Amino acid sequence: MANKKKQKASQSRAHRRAWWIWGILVALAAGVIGYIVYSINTSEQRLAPGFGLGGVTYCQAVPNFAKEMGYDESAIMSTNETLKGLFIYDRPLEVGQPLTNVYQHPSWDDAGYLGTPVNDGLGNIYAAPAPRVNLFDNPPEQQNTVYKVDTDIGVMAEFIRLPFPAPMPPDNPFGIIGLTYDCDTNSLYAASIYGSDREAEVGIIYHIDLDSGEVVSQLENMDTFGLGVFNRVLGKRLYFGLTRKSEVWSVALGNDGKIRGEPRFEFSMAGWGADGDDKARRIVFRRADEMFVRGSAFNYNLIAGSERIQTDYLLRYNAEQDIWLRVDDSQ
Amino acid sequence: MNQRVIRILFSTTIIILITVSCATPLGESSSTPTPLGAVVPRATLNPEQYPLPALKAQATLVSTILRQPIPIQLMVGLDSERAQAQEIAALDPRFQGDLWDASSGAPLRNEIFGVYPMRESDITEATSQCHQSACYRVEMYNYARNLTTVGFVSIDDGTLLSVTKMPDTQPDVPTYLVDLAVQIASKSPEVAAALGYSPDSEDAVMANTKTALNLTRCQRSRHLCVAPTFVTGERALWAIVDLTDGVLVGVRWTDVGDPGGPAVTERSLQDEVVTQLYCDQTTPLARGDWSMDFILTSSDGLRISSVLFKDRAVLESAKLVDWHVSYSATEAFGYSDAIGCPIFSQAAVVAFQGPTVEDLVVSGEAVGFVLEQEFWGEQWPLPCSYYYEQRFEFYNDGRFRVVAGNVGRGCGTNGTYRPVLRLAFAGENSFAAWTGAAWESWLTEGWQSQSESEPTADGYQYRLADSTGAGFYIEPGRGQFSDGGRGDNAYIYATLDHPDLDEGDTDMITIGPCCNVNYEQGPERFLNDEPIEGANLVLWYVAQIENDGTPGQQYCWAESALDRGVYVAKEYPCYAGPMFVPISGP
Repeated sequence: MANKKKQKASQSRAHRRAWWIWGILVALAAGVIGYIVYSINTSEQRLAPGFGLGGVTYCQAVPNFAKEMGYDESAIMSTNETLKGLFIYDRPLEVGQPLTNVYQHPSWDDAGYLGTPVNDGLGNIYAAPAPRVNLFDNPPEQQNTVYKVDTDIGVMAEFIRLPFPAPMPPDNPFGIIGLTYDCDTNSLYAASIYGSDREAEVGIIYHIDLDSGEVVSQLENMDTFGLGVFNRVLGKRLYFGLTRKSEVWSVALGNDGKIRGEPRFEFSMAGWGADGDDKARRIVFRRADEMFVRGSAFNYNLIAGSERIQTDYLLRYNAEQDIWLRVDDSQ
Repeated sequence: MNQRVIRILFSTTIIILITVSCATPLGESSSTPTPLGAVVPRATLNPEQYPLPALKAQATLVSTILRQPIPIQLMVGLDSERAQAQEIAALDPRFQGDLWDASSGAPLRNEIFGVYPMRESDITEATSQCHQSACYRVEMYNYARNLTTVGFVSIDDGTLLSVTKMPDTQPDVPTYLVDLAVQIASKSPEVAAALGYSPDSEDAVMANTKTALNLTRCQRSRHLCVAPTFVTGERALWAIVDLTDGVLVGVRWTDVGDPGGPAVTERSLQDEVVTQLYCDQTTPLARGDWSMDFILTSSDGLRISSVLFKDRAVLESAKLVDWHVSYSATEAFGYSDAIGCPIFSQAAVVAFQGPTVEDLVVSGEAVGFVLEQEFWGEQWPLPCSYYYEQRFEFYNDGRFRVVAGNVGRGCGTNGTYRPVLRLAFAGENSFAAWTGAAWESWLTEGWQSQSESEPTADGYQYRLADSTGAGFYIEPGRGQFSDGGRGDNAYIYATLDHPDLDEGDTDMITIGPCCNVNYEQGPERFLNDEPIEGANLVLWYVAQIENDGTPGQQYCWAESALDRGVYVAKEYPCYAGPMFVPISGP
């Protein structure tokens, strides 16, 4: 009787042991598979055939409504410092010439003062509110919304309200402060610092698929400013300026435009320019190897355009080392 | 058993280690936190009263040089070749391009900072001959324009080969200016207060207290600045010295072992000190029979609160909500400016320094004190940049005045400034206006233009009093306050202070548009015909001040003028705001 009990207990232990071993093996296998999947999703993806090297804004088009109104390819879509909303006008032949053929659709000032607009391949214009010296024309509830001017009818309407991690605090009057477009993937990237304050950095870069009009990936907990996508042989990268430091960082993008992996430091702008504390408020790729950075001070407070000192910097890509080197600075 | 004990001990140790590591944030030091620093209020040295002999000697030298045909302070003690290079550059018209003011022809302050043999990296097509011959690089600094001019000189040919101009750039500073900066820092009370003793030149070279000159920038003044740094133990005291004006800008402590910290500059120093001392915390102030708290807000300027006179509550709070600026030449052109903290705020015109408290002197006698705060645009006094002031005047006899000031310059000479003052009174009061014959109480919320009624013989136009009759007469500005004011032409609003509704108690985002020319300046949104007799009241006061840039009549205006070879701001301020006069001893 006692032997039978011992035998039963021994069998039960062996059974439990077997379950443990299987459990551990399954967990290990799941871990390995998970790691492989994670690694694939977060590592750089080599540039897809058909995507050219360099900047990715080659397809940006003049809106159809503007062409019908007689504007040509050189027409300027402006959200300048003093006029509220979006305007279109003929490119002046000389600097300082009075603007000609200025047009503003009645809906173009509905969102108050706007930040730099970007066009897509069809000529639709995307812009986000950007307060100048007050929030009277730019109420906080509008500031995490991207607006779209339809290429055919020229009417501006809300395109997407981006979610925000925290309500707008009194010490940060900004929401979306950077936009860029990628022709390869028909993607819009929006940098928002809505909800960030002195203690909490809760900014998000949103990747919006313009085919679906939905956010399909995002990079969290970084307050960022100027944005630009650049194609290297090694893959796509989204470059962005930080708002709290004079630094430019980047993050890998997949060939579908999705944000992949962890961001990395690219270069510091500390000491550059007359003031030495410029932040990269705009990033544009001009040629296959040139990055143009517009720097200015940013301290999370409002500032009149007339008060802002901006300096332009030119950097060249070193493909061998996958780094950017400053060439020169010019006002 | 032993194994069990070991296991328990091991587990306990791990738990203790985890607990301890969780309770101690990474990077936290056991030493006391590094103190912050101080900002010195902006000032230009009085030419009659230089604080250092070296500054007086320098001023005399500059004055002499500005009278010379070529206003360049040359370097002395150079060897013959360098002296020759300096002379060749200084006499060449191409090198002299920025020596004088373009419009007046008045001389600017220029100085040769260095003459160096040309480096290989300096050689360009224009200076290619310098591969074979002796060439020098002559560096000149223009104090007025914050401009560096570099001349490349061939000694063999006796010619200036090329000239390069670098705006907003300073060359390496000559040794005598380094010494001057160390002197200015060493003799300043702010450095002595921070170090706990007055350092002198000998202290600066003692083994345990080293000094080193750090590079820095004055992004706001656009002046030549350097930072003598006093190292004591693990901390370094940066003393930013403005060599253009010969003054200390401020002091800032840093940890010696923190190379990754942001650079200490005029802007970073001012922003951090103002934010931490005046935006993050309320400061109590008691002087004479008055006491109050004050704090810098995100967008409502300096806010005073809990104001008492002889222990009697007078004001819950007072602040300046908006500055509405409109220009008559263009319809609806203007700005609604908010004033407040320099970083992380909704303000566009910000505080570079904290408030000051000074005696209020009338006819040579101190009759009270004034709490004053200034706010600047980064480019003031250039066009379309602004400089605002808030003044709270408290008199020993119980009177007080809340003042909004403007020092231009704005975008034109056809501007109207409308500061929106908000005063929440303590206790329950009734509001009345003088009809010309009697005081008429306002039964419900309302507004009135100052021009709609006449003041009493004593100049009082409104009255705010409690049920016992105690309170204040209100005397709007009509140019009677001896501060250059030309009259307020104000709108006055009385609204109910709801205990359960925020109608401006907390920081307000912009309350109104820039360019309304009537009473619709923002406070009207709180007018709901609510009864206000014997109630908690808020008084809104919106003065309307027209600026003037006409020579001889300037008002709310500022201009750049040359003083001792550098540009300084010439100020023509305007002030507006009501005086509150006690009805009876409160």
